[in-house]
Amino acid sequence: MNGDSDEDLLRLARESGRLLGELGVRPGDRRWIRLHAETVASLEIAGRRSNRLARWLYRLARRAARTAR
Amino acid sequence: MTRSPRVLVLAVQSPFSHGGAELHVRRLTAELQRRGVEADLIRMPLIERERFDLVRSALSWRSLDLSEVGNRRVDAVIATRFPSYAARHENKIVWLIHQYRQAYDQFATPYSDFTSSPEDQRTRETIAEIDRVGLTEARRVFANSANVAARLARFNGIASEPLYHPPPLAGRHRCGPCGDYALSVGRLDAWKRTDLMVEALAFAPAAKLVVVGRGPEEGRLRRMAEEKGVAERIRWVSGATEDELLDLYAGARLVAVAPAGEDLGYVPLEAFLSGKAVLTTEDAGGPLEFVRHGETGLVVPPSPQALGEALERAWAQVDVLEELGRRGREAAARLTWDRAIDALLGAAGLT
Repeated sequence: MNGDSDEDLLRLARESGRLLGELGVRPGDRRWIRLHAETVASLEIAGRRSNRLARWLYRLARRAARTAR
Repeated sequence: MTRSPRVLVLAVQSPFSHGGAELHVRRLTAELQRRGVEADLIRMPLIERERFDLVRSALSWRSLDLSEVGNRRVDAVIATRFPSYAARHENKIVWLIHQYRQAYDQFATPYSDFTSSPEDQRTRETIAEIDRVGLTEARRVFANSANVAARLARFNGIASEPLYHPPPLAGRHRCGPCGDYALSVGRLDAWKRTDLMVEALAFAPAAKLVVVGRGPEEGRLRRMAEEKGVAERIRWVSGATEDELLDLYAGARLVAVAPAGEDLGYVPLEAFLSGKAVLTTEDAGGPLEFVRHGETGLVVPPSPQALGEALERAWAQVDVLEELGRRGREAAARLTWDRAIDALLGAAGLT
């Protein structure tokens, strides 16, 4: 993970996680949050995708969803 | 404001489908433009491969900041269907066509595939939350019928005002002499209950039926017609052009529509504008806001026998049907786009 594209992804994960929470998604909706995190992670440049990033985005989206409620 | 107001109509697209909702939002945009509004239509598809797609779609709308587009301020948005009203705008008006009905009034009926599974329960809760967030932050909520407004009050506790509009082909309908067929128009989905009319023919030996529409029920309906021995009295029209549809309305003896809890339903209004009486059921929903028994049509219990017997009785009473249709025409002619657009722009503070 490095560079502006990572910053953009993190911002997207934060913002969309917050919006998910606003729309009623809860931290317990693990599958939905994982699917969402995978969608965000899929924006990463091809070949750089890592499970670590997906896991990190998952935690970020989950935390954001919790915060919004 | 010296410049023309800028308004975006927010719509949900059903790819490869051209139903009433699609026609409605296009007409709404055109009617705004006709009145000098700089209006445009924003559409996103609602893809439903799995439950999360519903949330994903709401998130897509929520992610849009529509306050400004290309350095040009957007004065208002008019959202129409779930989940377009999740979009954010400080001057958001909602003109609700319908909610995601499978999660509400259609739940636990054959017309919904939602089960009591934990994920489906959570999806329904989340849909209700999306509706709460998207609708309560709107400056004003209109519904396209009293039926839709009543559902919104019942399931979500949200008040809205019914706002009617003419059907898509208003202005082009014409009356013709009563023909020798009852007309059924609509997508052949289970909840439209075209099967009631097919079965009703068994109780109305004098009647013929023309069914206009296509959809997943078509095969079953055709088989049913064979089994009931009424196939020879039904004509199936899968792909009518607008002119052909107008001709079919003009030449019908009456128009039959028997949906389960329709939102508004253009068919009765189209029938009335063609001077035709409407036969419908007591649980039809929106059509009952215009079809009054003995006044503009016939309203009977939702059973093949009740529909068939009403059809048989009415068949020989052409004079009565013409009078019902004439009154219906007067009622439908009172709906105008002027009133609808005035209400929408007034609510947005743009008049």
